[in-house]
Amino acid sequence: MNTGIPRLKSSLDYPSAMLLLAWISVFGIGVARANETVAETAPPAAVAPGSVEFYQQHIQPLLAATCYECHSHESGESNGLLMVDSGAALRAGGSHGPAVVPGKPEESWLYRALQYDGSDLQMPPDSKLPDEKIALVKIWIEAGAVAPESQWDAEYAARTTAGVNGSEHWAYQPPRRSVAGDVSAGSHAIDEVLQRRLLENGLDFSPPADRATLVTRLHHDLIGLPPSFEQVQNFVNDPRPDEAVIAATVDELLASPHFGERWARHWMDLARYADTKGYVFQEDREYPEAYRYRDWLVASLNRDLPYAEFVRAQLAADLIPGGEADLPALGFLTLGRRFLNNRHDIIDDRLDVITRGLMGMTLACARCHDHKYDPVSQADYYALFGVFLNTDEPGGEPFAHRLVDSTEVRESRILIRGNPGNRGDAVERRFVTFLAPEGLPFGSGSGRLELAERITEPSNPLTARVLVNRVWMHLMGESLTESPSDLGTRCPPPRHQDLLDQMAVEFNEDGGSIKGLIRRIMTSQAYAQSSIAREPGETVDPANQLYWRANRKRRDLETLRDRLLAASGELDRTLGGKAVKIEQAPFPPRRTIYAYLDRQNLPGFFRNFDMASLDAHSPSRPRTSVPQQGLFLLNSGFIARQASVLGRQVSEIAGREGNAAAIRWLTRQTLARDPSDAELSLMNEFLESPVSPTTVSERWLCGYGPFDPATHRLGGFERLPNFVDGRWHGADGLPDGKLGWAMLSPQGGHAGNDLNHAVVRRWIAPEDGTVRVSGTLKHDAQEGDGVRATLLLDGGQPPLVGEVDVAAASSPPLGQWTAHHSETKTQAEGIAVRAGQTLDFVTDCQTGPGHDSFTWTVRIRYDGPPKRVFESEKEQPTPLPEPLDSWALLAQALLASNEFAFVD
Amino acid sequence: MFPPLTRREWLNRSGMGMAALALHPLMAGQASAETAGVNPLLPKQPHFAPKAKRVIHIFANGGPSHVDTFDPKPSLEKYAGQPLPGETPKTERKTGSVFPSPFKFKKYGESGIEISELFENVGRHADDLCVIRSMHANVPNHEPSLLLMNTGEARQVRPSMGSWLTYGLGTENQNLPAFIAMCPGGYPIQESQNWQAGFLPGIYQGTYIDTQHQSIDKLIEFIENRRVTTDDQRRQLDLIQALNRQHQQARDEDPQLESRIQSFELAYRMQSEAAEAFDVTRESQATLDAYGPGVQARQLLIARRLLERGVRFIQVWHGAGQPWDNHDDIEVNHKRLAGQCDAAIAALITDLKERGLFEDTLIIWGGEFGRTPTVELPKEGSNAGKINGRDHNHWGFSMWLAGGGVRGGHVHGATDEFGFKAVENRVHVHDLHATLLHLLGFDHEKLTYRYAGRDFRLTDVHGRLVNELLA
Repeated sequence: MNTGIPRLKSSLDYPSAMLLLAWISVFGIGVARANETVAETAPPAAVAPGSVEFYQQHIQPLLAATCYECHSHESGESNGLLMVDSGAALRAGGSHGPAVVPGKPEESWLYRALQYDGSDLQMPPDSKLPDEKIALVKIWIEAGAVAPESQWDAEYAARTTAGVNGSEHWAYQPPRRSVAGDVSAGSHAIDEVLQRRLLENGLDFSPPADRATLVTRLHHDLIGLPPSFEQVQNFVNDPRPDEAVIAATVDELLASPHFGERWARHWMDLARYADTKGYVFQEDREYPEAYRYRDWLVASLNRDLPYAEFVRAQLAADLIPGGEADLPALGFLTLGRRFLNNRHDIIDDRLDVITRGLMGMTLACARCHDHKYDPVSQADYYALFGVFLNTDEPGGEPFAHRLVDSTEVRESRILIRGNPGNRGDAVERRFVTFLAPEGLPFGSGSGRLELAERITEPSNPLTARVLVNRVWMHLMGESLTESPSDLGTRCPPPRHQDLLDQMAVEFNEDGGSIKGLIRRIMTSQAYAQSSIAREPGETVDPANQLYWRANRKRRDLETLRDRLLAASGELDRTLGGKAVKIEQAPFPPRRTIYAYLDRQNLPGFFRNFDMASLDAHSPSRPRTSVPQQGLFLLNSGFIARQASVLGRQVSEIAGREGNAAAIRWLTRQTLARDPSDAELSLMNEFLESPVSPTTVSERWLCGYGPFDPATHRLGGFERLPNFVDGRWHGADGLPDGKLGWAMLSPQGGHAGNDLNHAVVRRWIAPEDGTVRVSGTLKHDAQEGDGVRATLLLDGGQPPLVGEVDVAAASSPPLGQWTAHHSETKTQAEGIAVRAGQTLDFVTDCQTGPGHDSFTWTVRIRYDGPPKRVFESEKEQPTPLPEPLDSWALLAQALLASNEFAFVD
Repeated sequence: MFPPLTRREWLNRSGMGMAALALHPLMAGQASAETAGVNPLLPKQPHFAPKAKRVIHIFANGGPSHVDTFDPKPSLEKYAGQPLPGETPKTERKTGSVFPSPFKFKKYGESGIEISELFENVGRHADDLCVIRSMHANVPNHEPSLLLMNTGEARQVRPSMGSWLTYGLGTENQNLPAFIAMCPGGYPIQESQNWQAGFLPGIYQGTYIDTQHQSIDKLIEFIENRRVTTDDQRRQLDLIQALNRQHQQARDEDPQLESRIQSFELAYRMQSEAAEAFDVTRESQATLDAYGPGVQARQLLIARRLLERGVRFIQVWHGAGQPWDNHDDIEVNHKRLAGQCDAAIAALITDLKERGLFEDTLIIWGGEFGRTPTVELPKEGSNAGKINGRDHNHWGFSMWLAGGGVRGGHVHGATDEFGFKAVENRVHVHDLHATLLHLLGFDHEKLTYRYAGRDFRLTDVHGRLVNELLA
C-alpha cells in the first residue's frame, strides 16, 4: 500500500501530496486506484499526451489532489455544478460551461482557471499551481483530452454543453395523471394508487378508525377546534355509512368560517408572518396593519378563491384591475423582516418566500453564484431581483403595507458574489430561464403581475405539485417529498410520485380549488384509516411510507391552546381583527391565530411549542417534546385559569350530583368522551386526598391604614385590593369611592385622601439581623403641602414585654421625612429585625388631599454576611395566585394529558 | 422503487437508536429529532474528541478598547496629539489625532503578557490566557458586527453559535436550558437575534435571562407554581402519568407518547433544579466575596453554577444596549465598566480551576469590535462635544480565550504600531468560529444543516482553524 506514496511526493509538490494523502486516508475506496495509477506506470517521458496512460499518470492525480475536494463524487461536492472525476464530467462542465474542450485549451475553463488569466474564475482558489503542472494540462487538452471510461460517465451523458440541463429532473416535467377518472365525478385515485402499492408489498389499508376518532380528526384537520361531546355523539350515532357521514361532515366543516382560520395559519408559516419588523434601530417597529393580511387569508380561503387568483393577489393585487379589496394580500411580500432596511436583503427575503413558498425552488441559492445543483443561474436571480427593484412601498391608505410599481425604471445588474459593490452585467426582468426558455423579458411595469402569471399558469410544473404536497402533509402527517419547499434536483422522486402528479393534475383541472383538493384527500379510504400500529405493517414498513395506517398527530401550538380554551368554555370564537397579546394576563381567550407575533421578542411560550420561524419561510414545523412544554401546562397562569374555571363548574356539579357525575361531566368537557371505569377510580382516588394549603412567603405588601402622626403609629394595615399594570389601588380604579387616590406603584404612589388612608409599603423580614435602609423621597407638585414619609418597625407598635405595654405613649419612628416640590434622601441604619417583623414605609398627605403624588424607592440591606439586598422598585408584589383545589387540579391533569395533546 | 426502511432504520430515525445518533449525530439528529417528537437536546457526540465541553462567552458589548486593555501601544504616547502617520482607516465617525491610553500596562505572570491596569485581576491569570491581538471584522457598526460575532453573518437570519453547539452537542443537563443568554436590565443591541436559532428548530435558541432579577420566577418562565404544593403537584403528575399509561397501552407504545411522558418528568425535576442553580445565596461567603458585589459578579457566579450543572453554552452580556461603547469619557467609563467585572472574571477562572472545570470549559472574552487609537472628533448628538473617547474599530481588536484546549500564556498576532489594523497572523471572526468549533470537537466544515436547498454552517463558506491558539 505504501509503495505509491514516495512516488507521489516526487511528482507532486508537497502541499498537493499532503492533500492527496489526506484524500486517501479519508476515502479508503480511492486508495487502490490511486496507488495503481501512480505506482505502476512508467516515467513521464515515455507516455504519449494523447494516451489514457498520460491522463492516469499526470492529470488524474493532479485533479485528485487539487480539485476533488470540491468537485468529485468522493467528496460529495460539486461546486459550480462541476465534477472533475471523469472525462465526461469535464466535457460537460459546470455552470461556466465545459471545463474541457478537447484540442482547445483556451476555450477550456479548466485550463483558464488554472492559468489565473484574469477572469472571474481562478482555481485552485488558494494559490496558482506551478507552471509545469499547468503545462501538463495544456498538453493533455491539446492532445484531445483523452480519459478512460468511468463509472460516472453516464451521469453526464444527458448534460449539454450549455451547463446543466435539468430537463430530466422529475419535478420539472409536467405532472401526468396515472389514473383515469373525472375530478367532478369524485376521484378515487388516491386509494387506487396507494392500495396498489400496498398490495405489491404484501400490505393493505388498516381498518377505518372508530367514529369518535374520525370526527375528532376531521375537526382538527379542517377547523383546528375539537368537536363537543354532543357533536361526537351525533357523528357516532349517525345511521348512514361511514363514507356518507364523513363526506357530509367534511362539507359542513369546509363551510365553517373557522376553516379559514386553521388553513390561513398554515399559509402564514410559509409567509413568515409577524406583526413587527424585527430589529430596527429607532423607527416604529410595528406593522400596524399586518392583521389585515391575516384576515384576507382567512376570508379568501373560506371563499375558496381559486389558487391562481389567491397567489396572483398576494404578488400583484395592486396591478390587477379591480383588485383594490385584495390589497392586504400584498402582506405576503411586505411583512418580512426589515434587515435594518437593507434593500438587497429585503428583496432576497421576498424572492425566497415566492420561490420556495410557491414553487419549491431555492432561488436564493443563486444570489452569489449560479445555483450549485439546480438549473438556476445568477442571471435568473437578478432578473427577478429587478422586478422588486422596480417595486416601491408607498404606505398609507388604503393598506399600509401595499406595493406599487416604481415610476422610473431601475436597471438590475448581477452582483458578483452577491456583493453590492461589485456590479456585473445588466439583466432584463424576466422569469427563470429553465421554466421559460424563450427568455422573453417582462413587458409591463415591474413585471410583478407577469411573474405571478408565470408562477400560476397550469403549465408551470412546480406550483401545483408544491401546493398539493403541502396540503397532503397537513392532512396525512408527512409530506410526499423529502423537502416540501425544495423540489430541486437534490429532491429525489417521491415514492408516490404518481399520486402527487395525479393530485396536481386534478387540482389544476378543478380550477385550483383548495377545498376540492382537501375534500378528495379527506374522503379517501387512506385518510380514514386507524392510526393503531399493527403487523405486518410494523415489520414491513415501520416508517409508514406506504400509508398502511394513519399517522398520529401531535397538536401544534395553535390547536393545543385553542383546545384548552374550548375545554374550559372560555374560547372566544370571534373572527378577525387586531392581534392580541395572548400570553399576557388576563390571557385574552381568542384563537391562537390572533396572537400578536413580535419577531424580535417572541415569548418563550411560542418557541417552546415549535412555532414556525417568523424570520424566514418555514416549510414545516419541528415536533419536539421539551420540558418547557410541561412547565407551561403545569405552572402557567394561563393553564391555571382554565383549570380553575373548570374546577368551579365541576365542583358545583359534584355538590349537586356527586363525584361520579362530576367526573363524567369533566371528562366529556375536556376529552369529549365518557371516562372508563379504570379512569373513574383513578380520578376518585385523586380526589380522596385533600389538597394542602400553599404557603407563600411574601416579602413586600402594598396596603393602607390610619396613621397617627402624634404617636407615630399605624393603626392597622389593609391590602390595597386592586392590581393593574403594576399599580395597587382601590377596587374601582383611581379615584376609588372608598380609598380615593391611594395608590402604590413600583416607584412610589399617591397618598390617600386623609390620615386614615396613608399608603403603606410593607417589607417582611425573612431572617433575623441588622438592616440598613436607603432611598429617595421625591414630590414634584408645587401645589398642595407635599407628603410625609415615615419608616416604622412593626407599624410603630412598641415591643411587648410580657403582657405589659412598656411604652404606651409615643415611640420615635426609625425615620421621618417630608417633601414638597423637592426630594430628600431617606436613610436609616442599625435596625435590628427578627424574622417576620415588618418595616413599614408609610406615606401620608399631611393636612389635605390633592397633589400628593410621590416617588419613594427604597432599598434594604442586611449588614450581613451575606449582605442580602431587597429593592422595592424591582420587587413590586403581584397579586397572590388563587390556589387550585382538588377539582381544578383534576381538570388540569386532563388538560395536560397525552390524550389531550394528540390526535389519533 | 425505494426499499422501505427497515425497522432498525426507522427506530434510528425516530431517535430510539442511540448508537446511530452517536455515529452520525448531525444527520440522524436532523432526521429524527424534528420528526418523531423526541427530545432533540439529548447529549450527542461531536466529530472527534473535544477539548472543551462547555462555553462561557463574556460579551463586552459595545466594543471595549483594545489599546486600553490587552494591546499596549507605546507609540501612542510618542505621537500623542499628532495626526496618525499615513492614512487614517475609515471607521463609523471621524477621528482625529493619536490618543494615548490613560491606563498603565504591566507584564503579568511567567508569560509576561502585557495587560492594562483595567484588568489587573484578570492579569493574575495571564499564564492561562490566549490573547488574540489580531482580531478583525467587516464593518465598524454595532448591528452587523454583533450578528457577525454571534452568527457568522452580518445581516441575514442565521443560527447563533450557541444554537449551533446545542444542535451539535445537545446538553448534559435536561433539567436546565441548554443555551442561556444573560443580560441584566434588558437586551443588548440587536436584541434576541444575538442568540437566535435562525433556521434551526426554535428549541436551540438561547434562553434569555434578565439577571437584574433575583427571584426564580422572574428568571425562568413557568418554573414556579405558587398555587399548589410540591407534594400535591407530584400527586397530580402521578395521575397524569397514570392516565397517559392507559392511553398509551391501547396505542402500541408509540415513541412520541413515551417521549411526552418523559418530558413531563423532566419538567417536574427542572423546577427544583433550576431554582437551586440560580440561587447564589447558597454560595459560601468566601466565594461571594471573591466575586465581589454587583450584578456582573452575580451573573458570573450564576454562570459558574450553570456550567457546573452541565449547561452547554452561556453568554454573559455586560448590560442592556452597548455599555462599552465609549465615544466619550473613555477613561471614566472604561474604568467603571472594567471595575464592575475584572475581579469577578478573575474569580470565575480561579473558581473553575478549583472545581476542576477549567480544563474543559472554554472561556471567551471580547466585544463585537475594538476602538480606534485616534480620538473621536465631536459630532452633534453623539458625544456631547467631548474629545476624550474613541470610535468603533473593526480593523483590529483583541479578544482572549482561556480554558479547555487553549494555549495559555500566549499572545497571538499583532496590530500595527498604533493598534489600528490587525497586521500579523490576522484572525477573522470566522476563523475564531472555526477554532471554537474545533475545540468543541467539530470540523467547522462538517457541522451543517440542510436548509433552503443547501447545507449551511456557522462559518458559511469561510473560516480557518487557527492552530496556534490550541494547547
